[in-house]
Amino acid sequence: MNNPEDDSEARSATEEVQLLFVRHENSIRAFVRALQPSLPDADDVMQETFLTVSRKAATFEPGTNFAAWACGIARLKVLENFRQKKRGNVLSEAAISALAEDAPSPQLLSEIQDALEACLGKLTPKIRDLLWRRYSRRQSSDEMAEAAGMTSTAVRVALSKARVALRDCINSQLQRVR
Amino acid sequence: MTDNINNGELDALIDACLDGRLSDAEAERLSQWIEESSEARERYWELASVHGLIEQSMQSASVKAATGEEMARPPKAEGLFRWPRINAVAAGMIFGILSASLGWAYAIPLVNQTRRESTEIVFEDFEDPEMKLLGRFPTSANRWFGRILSVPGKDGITTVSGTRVGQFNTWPKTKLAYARYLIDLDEHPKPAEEHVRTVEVEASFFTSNPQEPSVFQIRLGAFSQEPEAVRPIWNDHETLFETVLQHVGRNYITEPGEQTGWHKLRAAIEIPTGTRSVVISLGAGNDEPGATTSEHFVDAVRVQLVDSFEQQD
Repeated sequence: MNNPEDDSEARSATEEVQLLFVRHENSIRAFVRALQPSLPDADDVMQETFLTVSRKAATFEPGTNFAAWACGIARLKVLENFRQKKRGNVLSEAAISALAEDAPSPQLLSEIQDALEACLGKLTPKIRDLLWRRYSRRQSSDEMAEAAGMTSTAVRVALSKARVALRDCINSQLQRVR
Repeated sequence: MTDNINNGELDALIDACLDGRLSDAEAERLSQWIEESSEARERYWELASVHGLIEQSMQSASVKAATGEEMARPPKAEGLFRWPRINAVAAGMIFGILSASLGWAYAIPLVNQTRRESTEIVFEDFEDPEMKLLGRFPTSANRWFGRILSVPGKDGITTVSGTRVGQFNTWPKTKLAYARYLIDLDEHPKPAEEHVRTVEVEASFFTSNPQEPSVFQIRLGAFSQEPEAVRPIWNDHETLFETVLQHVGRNYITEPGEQTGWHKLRAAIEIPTGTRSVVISLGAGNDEPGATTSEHFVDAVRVQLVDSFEQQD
């Protein structure tokens, strides 16, 4: 059995990329979640990406762009996941590849995250509660509807409007900065 | 050739895609637009970035809502990233339970009030000078294992609790030294069916040389196995990732010259159904290769079982 705690040298390289992964996890996860909107699938892809990053630790060149390297691996894992699941109602493989090619840089994602923090504060308490239930508690529309005293359709519409409002707010914030 | 892209329809399709509500025909239409139009790809990323990033903001916010306290904000990283978001784990698992670095300025309003019942199940301040830590990973529940010794507070180190602290012993070839503890949930009352149980861990860390960047780490793992069966799983990465039910973690990296006192770090893990054992792993070490002059300490480790439930007001 491979015992990483008994192999200090290998562990050091592995630990190094794991720490980098942890450090850049927000950007990597945002990249994955955008290409793989389903939460369970995104979790699977993140886990697979982490495993591969760990296994390939020795091939990462320190000082180069770790996030770009990890996102390259994540992109392949998204495509692998896509091929395994073979669902009909998802984006085509060509579309996912095209999106991956045009993905925002980690730096831009970081700027978006900064702007998002400010924009979330502008939402109403009720909408923030819905977002919290959807993205933190991972509740379904039905569960959210029951908790918030709304219909499922109203919940979906509210979430959709919230995302658009956040997108517009973020664009406005980024334009102001530039 | 793609023509007549209607932005309203495109946004609606992207939104449905992000929510998993696309029909087959809609998926085909959206795919075609994305494949053929850079504008469509740009609009996709604008909405998808919100979708991808908001989750982490919300999860961080939920921790604040639960604890009523701000999460510590790590120092700014050098290089490309302005914020080193140090979330989740140094291994495996369900990511993004905590975010260490989000500086958000709002509180999550709860329509229904979330009530918490907390029970402190471990408090360790390393006061026993005879404390002997065996092995690197626990082979049984309810005692600490790892590379840590009980030492008296000395010049420059004011203890957080009592007169002694735990000192990490880093081997030359290892980046971090660890102290670990196993909780056997069978020894504690089970939560009511509608309750969400979490284990919350708080520990204070200290570095003797604040001029060198240090890593302070808390990792938590939930396993269905009994405590005695967890060690071989933890020590084998592939088995670990296939077996662990939930695995979260939190790193804090000090900024040279800024971490001059104790730093309190917190992490919480939601306990999935079927969990028998919970691993608590505390780690500390230097963040840069070749940094050898720092000693690292831990004190006042507090572990709480927290049962949360919603209560209509």
